[in-house]
Amino acid sequence: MNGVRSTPARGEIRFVALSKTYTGIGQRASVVALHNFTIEIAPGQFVAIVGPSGCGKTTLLNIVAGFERQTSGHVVVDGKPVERPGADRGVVFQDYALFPWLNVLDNVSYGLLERGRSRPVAHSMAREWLQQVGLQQVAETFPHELSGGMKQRVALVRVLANESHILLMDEPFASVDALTRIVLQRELLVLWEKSLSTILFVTHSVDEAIFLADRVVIMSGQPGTVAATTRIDLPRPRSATSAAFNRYRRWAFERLQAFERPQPAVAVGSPN
Amino acid sequence: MQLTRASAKSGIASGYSNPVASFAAGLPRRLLGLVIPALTLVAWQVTAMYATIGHAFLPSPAEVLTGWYMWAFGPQSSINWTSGTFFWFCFLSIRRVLLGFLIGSSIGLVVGIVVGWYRLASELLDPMIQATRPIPMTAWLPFATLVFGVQEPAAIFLIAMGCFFPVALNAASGASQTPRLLVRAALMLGTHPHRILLKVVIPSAMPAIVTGVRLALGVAWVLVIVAEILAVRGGLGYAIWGAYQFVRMDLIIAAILTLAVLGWSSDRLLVALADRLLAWQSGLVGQQ
Repeated sequence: MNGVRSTPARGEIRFVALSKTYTGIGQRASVVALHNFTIEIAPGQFVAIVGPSGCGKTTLLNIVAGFERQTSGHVVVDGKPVERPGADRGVVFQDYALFPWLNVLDNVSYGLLERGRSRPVAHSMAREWLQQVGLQQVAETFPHELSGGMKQRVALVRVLANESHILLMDEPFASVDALTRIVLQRELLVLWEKSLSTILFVTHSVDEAIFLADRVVIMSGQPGTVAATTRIDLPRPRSATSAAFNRYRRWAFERLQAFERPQPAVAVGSPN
Repeated sequence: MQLTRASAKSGIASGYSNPVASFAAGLPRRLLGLVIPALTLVAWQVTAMYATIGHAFLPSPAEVLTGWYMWAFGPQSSINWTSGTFFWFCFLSIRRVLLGFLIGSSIGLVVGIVVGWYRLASELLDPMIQATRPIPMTAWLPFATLVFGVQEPAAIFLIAMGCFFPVALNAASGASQTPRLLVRAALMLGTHPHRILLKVVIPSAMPAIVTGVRLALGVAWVLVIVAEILAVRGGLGYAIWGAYQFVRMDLIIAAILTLAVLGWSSDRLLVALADRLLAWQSGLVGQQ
């Protein structure tokens, strides 16, 4: 399927020995959230990061987004080190983060207006994007009147409409029900193939990572670092029940078990 | 709505309708609020016919209306303020409230948002605000009169001062509770950090700002009367005090009722404006 996509010119992310330590205050000890995290993501690639809770996945995303500063190392996006948030890196948050005082249309137009588009242009672009996810009917309603799945669609087209080359998604489908999640995953793939953007997708679900991504990165926790990475060489749409899919799952679960157990010698590598 | 729904329910539950409740249910909802005022009017008429309150005779509603009519439409003269000055006095009071309220609320809004959002501003200004706030506004009046003279600015200063605090404190509290997630969302969509205050902090603090502004308007009507009794000429407070000196109870009551109408309508105007600003909250907060 990657043959269909032309390789986009922008959207490359390089993590170079990225480390982040939260300095302890008073009684609280310092926490090393990320240690020596190094990977390269090609423009247009869909990379999923899987890891246990507290492994520094969100910290990683916050640093790429420019919300937090690393302690050492670099994140380089299209040749430039990340220093602050910017519209080239759109974020889809787990809790949507839509502006409650703006209706759906104004939420989607927000970035375009902030970046200097005229109101009619921004609104017509926003309407086009809403149409793509079937939300043109609710353009005038406020976010709190929408279901979780609809909110997340709005949050997604809000960054796509804003012409972000990179989408940073922090467990975006964790707050919606299982059925909606499947629909949203499919929609995301459709939109991604059209948009040529790079996606860095953080999740704690192995299945979701394998279903969606070109490449899955397994993170170990405390300190967070790259434990293993693999390409998912399966054609899309992928079947979560196929034998090939299951091989990837087994591979991923074995890697995850390795550092979740305190005494790895007992379990690791033993085939069942 | 509440009453009618409750009465319908009790009717079904008990098998028969409570006559008072079903009468109330038959009335249009807006008229229900007029029942108590109408009863008060009757009680007032009866009291005025048969009794005195304290040292003064209580004028009947009709006498108040006559006194008010002269005050409003009588010939104007330079020696008698009780004739033909009503609308001018209303205008003076409204102008003072409006100016003081706009000046005080605007400064309060800016200071409150900045103090609530920027730590440096908070450390710089908050101790001063907290130290000034407990001083009763009326204590400033002699100070204001000596500084500004028995002139408009004395009244406007007092009202602005009174409006500043509720708006500043509520705006600061609202601004300090701006969700960090929304700030980040705005930044990643391309909002310049300088514009975060305008695009996120103020909209997010708007419910608190509205609360502060409503409180401020109430304070403004209190202070305009105090200022007009003590510091400036003309206006409804001046009329109340003048009427007291001539024992004109009818004019005192007319002025009080006028203040009720003005205070109520100004609050309604503000609420209508607030409802537009906070339309996004409908269905999000409060009871069903």
